[in-house]
Amino acid sequence: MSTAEIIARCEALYEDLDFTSARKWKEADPSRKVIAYMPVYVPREIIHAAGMLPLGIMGGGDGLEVIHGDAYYQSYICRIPRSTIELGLSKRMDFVDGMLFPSICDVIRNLSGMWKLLFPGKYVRYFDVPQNYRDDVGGNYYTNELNELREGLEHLSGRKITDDALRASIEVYNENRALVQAVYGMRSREPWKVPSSEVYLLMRAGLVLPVEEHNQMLRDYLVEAEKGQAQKRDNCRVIINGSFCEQPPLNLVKSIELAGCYIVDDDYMIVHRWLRNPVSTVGDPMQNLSLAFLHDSIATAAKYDDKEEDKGKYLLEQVRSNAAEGVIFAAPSFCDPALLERPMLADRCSEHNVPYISFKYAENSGQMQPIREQAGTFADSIKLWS
Amino acid sequence: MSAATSPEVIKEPSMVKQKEMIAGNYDRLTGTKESGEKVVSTFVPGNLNELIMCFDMVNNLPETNAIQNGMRKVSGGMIMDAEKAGHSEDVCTYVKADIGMMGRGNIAPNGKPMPAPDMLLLSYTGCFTFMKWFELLRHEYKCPTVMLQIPYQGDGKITKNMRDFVVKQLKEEVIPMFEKVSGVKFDIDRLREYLKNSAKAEDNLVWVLESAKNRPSPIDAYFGGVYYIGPMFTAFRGTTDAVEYYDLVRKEIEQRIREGKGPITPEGDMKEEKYRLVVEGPPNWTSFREFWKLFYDEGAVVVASSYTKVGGLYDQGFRHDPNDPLGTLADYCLGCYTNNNLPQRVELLEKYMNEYQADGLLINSIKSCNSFSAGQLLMMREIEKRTGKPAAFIETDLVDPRYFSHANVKNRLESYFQMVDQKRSGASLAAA
Repeated sequence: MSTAEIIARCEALYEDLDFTSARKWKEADPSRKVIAYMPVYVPREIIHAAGMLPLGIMGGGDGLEVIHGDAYYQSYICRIPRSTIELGLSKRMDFVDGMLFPSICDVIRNLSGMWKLLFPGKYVRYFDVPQNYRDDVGGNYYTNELNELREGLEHLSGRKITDDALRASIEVYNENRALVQAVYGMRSREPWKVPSSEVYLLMRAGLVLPVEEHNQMLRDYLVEAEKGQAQKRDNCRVIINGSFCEQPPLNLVKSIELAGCYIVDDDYMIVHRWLRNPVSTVGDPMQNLSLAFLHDSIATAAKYDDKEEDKGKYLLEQVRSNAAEGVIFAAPSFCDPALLERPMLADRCSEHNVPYISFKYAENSGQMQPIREQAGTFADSIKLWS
Repeated sequence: MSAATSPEVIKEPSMVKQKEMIAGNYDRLTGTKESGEKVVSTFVPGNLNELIMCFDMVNNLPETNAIQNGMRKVSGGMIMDAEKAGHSEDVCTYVKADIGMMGRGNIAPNGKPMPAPDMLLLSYTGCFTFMKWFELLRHEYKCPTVMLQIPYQGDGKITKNMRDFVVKQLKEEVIPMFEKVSGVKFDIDRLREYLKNSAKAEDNLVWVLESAKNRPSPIDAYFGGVYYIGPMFTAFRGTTDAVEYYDLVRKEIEQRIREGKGPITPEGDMKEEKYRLVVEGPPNWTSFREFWKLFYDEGAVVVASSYTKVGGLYDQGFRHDPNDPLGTLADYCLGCYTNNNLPQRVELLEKYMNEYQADGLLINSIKSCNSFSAGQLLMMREIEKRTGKPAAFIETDLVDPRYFSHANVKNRLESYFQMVDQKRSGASLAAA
């Protein structure tokens, strides 16, 4: 399969707001269950070990007309909860057996309660994570939370999730993380061969496909992309920051590229790269997942930096390791985590002479001309004066 | 209404006492350079005043500073200063008012500059923004910061794991940091004494809040409620001053009930109680008196509100327990209103509607407070469905004057009161 064919499949999955692929997976065996989750991170290994399909929900994007969802939210609340409600009320998610709402902000947190009220009988869990990174404090709390999730899924499926099954699932997700990193690594080395719009769609596919299938897709893509003959352009290399929850329309990603920027790292769909290294498959799997979260996860605005000097460290590391020339702070409108974090990260960039710009978007933003102009001017300014 | 032509607020003795307490606290806070006392900044929901007192530290609450600035009509400029400095127009205006205040010298209501905090106690309770707010303050002050993470009641209950986590943080993170910064050794018996005072004051606070079940209600549990909950919310819980204050206010309300009086308003006693409301959401502070006037001019009294529970759900039975000092602090933090999930919040409002015989629910949706606001439209529908009473929705902001439209709020309220009247006449006709 060529890269074009792989990406065409990814794009079809991305545009399919009825989640046909996940539906088919479930229909193949009446005992199968699907557990949906929202950004930014859930331990998909536990869902997988339960024999269930983790299904990432990133809102409705720009392809969904929101009719009911707007009636549930004031104008000053971001777009992703309203389009997610729309997906639920329009029965596009009627095959989903449970839904996880990670701890990211008050809007997603409250959406967990709304889901309980709107869809009684469904398994709904607010998935809390520690903001204290000591093994014996936040670690103990988190391990117990993971075990509560495990028990909840066992109750739902009616079967035990064994430690062996968990270790096997960790293994398969370790492979997924390695392949995702390989794609990101290739893009960083040769961004002209691996357009960001393609990387984006590949990662979106990973939200709806079984992980084994996604692994194969990534392997195939890596092989095919290596053969690419695209010409290197005189683009500037940028990092995207702030887009970890509500996603930009695909056209926005394309517009940034068209404006003369190679995106060499980003925080789209960070569930795939939340854990930076392979999780140990030896010993207690829950404790291993917990330790990986505490000590080996990426930094993002949804997390607390317990030391002032750590603020922006991860972003600066992204800049350095990807030889980036600038940062684009692209956050959804009304996104508390990203917008509150931005001034601190911007200060860090200034302290280290890293140029940056910032803009806001919504998942259904239609006008790309201002984005192209802003990103283009940024790229030009870096090329001319930086 | 301009401030110059506003009628003077009629003060009860309890109000005078509270004013003195607050003024005294600001004097103490702005005098730490001379006294040598250490300052800790922290938040209102889940505040640990009793614990702070154990270390002889002075408590500074940025939220109440923002409220003070909002009521004194200076928060607007501060917010714009923060926005000019790069803070988004989309985020919490308490944060921006606080940051803008810093840029203007952190002047307290007594006209003196507030000291920089010696420590930040990030009680991360029921509001995501708190976490980023104190990261922003730490970014400015570069002072020791300790986080107390309070897990959210996603499933509507407090589990052992959640409670153990909070207690462990108190023991191993929070108390050691206090000892280090203050130089004072933690004394659990001292904490017990303060907790005893808290429980005494809480009994009277609950009595006062529940007095609104009378007809007419002797209090307004939202606008007036701000006064009644004040000491419990700020730097006084655990003090003998707070015990005396609530004793005093209870006696005043007992007297009002005996005399059949309604609540006291800025323009004197409210004459006729025409509408009894439950209100969800914080008030607007920049036009607080004008906002309140829109209610009492129409004979509307708020008999119960959720905002007065962000600092603790005492009316649902919680009391600080001196027999389990750290466990009780954990229970307190875990139980605050904004740490309750949406179904719990709906249940509480429904309970208030029934127990306080309210005519309807009013939601004041705050533009910059997602912790409260996200989900309120569904809450409104649920309450209408469950109680059959009308609900209404208005939108304002905490301390950003740009988001308070007097005319819009007035129109909405007038329409709402008409709706309540129609419901009533419909019910009377049906009964006939």
